[in-house]
Amino acid sequence: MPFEVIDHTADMGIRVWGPDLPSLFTEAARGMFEQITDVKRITASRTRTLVIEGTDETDLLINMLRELLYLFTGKGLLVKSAAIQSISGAALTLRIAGEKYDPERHAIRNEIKAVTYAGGDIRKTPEGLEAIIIFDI
Amino acid sequence: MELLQIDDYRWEIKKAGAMNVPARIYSSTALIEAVKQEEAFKQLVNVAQLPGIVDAALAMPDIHWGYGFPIGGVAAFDCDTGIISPGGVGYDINCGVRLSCTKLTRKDVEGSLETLAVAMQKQIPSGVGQKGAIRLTNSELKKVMKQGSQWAINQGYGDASDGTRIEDGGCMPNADPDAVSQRAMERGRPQLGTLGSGNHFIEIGLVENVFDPAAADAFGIAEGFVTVLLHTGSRGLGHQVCDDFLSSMTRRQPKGIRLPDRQLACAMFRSPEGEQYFHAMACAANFAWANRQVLMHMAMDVFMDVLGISPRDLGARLVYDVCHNIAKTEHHETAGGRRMVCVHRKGATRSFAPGSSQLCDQYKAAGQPVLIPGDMGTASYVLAGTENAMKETFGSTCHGAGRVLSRKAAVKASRGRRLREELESRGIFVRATGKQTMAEEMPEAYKDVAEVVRVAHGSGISRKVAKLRPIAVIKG
Repeated sequence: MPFEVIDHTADMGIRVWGPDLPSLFTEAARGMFEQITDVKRITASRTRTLVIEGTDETDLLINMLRELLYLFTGKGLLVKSAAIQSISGAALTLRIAGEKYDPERHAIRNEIKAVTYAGGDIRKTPEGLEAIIIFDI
Repeated sequence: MELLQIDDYRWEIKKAGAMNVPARIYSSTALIEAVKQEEAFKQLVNVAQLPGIVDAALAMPDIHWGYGFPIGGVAAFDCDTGIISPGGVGYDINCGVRLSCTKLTRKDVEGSLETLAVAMQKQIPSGVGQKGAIRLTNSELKKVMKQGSQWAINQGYGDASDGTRIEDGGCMPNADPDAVSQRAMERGRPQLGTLGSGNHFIEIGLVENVFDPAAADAFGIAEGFVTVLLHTGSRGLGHQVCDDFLSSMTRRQPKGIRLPDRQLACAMFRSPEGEQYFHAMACAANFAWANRQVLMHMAMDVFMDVLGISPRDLGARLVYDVCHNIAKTEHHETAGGRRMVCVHRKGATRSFAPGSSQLCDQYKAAGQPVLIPGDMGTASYVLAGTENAMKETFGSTCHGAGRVLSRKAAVKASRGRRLREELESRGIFVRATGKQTMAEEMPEAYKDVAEVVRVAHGSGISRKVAKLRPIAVIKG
């Protein structure tokens, strides 16, 4: 369980953790899509490679999630998994797998309007890295 | 950070450190304790640090923890020396409320409430991923973004006179579709005529009390009549506009501005980026007005279908339509004299005084109608704008009850309860599309709307006109 839902009065947040940046980013993607739908019920029938840019690691994380959210809100694609292929301070490449949203099979849990910067920066912990991500819902 | 009580309804945080102005909070002893537990006051202090802020950072009685700006916040910035901030408007640009009053009374709908609620839920697309019945091409979407409510009126939704009873006439004139990204248009295009999810709703109610008969009469509402109140905004189009500009402004912060929070990203109002955001925001605001124009028309169609009555029998008339997430240029009296400011209202409602040039003749003596939705179990209110709001709050007041419980806490608190049956036993039929919506939106998740309204009335930033009691609620 490398993420948990946290309390926020008006919105919703998750706390994500992992030993390193790639696992933190992968878990953040899963954490977000778990708020949208039951990830177990998404099949991995489509894949895509994305390149994301950012000014620092936190910006990169938020931008990745913004891009993945847009895949759903703009293109109707639900993401099952996001594997980080390479990551540097300013850019990352990831390979995602998922499928088209089908209202018959995918119950939507929350309408996430946006991924915000409100959770603050990625933090170092004794176990690795941790980030708080607040969604506007 | 010391919170000083000034009188029964006003608290102040004195200017200190990096603050350019003090912060003033409209509240009561009953409301303020819950707010102290959150980050809202710290967020207000952060807003007070932004360049060009005029007089004070303001918190309305329903203030609660947002991000960047608190929700229930009002801040005015000098147009020449100040900023504009997408976070100060929020993701749901021109999220707002629209109220119509019918000639129907309780006995006309009593036996049909459940049928009405079910039919509304079926006819009006709500929830997530639902597409509207209106198919727009890109060029038609651009017209919606330019014309707002008028576009929908031209298509046959609503009445030709509706525009006179909508904030800004249902159209911000400075909209420029070229400022809106392809992504935002892509998200908005299928969503005109959709309610959305979460706290968005359609509420069928009864006018239970009238406190100010003259104003109620001017607004066309009277005790015992059936009302329809709807709450929604600019859908994915507005969300994406906010997201686009927050991101680009985060990367290009003006030199010399130290931001206490990334979510406060901003641009000088008079800068290419600031202007571009303002033009794009206006497009989203106009989309929202068109959306509410369409949805109210659809709701009235459901009434006529279910009850088998004519438009004349229904006698629906738009009372007003207000936005509560917006930035506007307005002229106000400030400590430095009368000047044009960019007023940010994030979870706050315009509350213009009697005599305002923005009001139609019929409403001139009463002041601007202010619509305050409560939670689904208690009440909603109609207030009117005041001279005091013009003096103290840049013509602004509260926007609703404001949450007290997080969604997670609400779900936990509702375990083992049958909310739908509880509400039904109190005469309120609720239909919700989202799986968790009922629990998340339970009445206890919100502040006491009566107390919020008491503060707005007692402090004089608006005055009570009427109370509406919900009898059926359709949630997204």
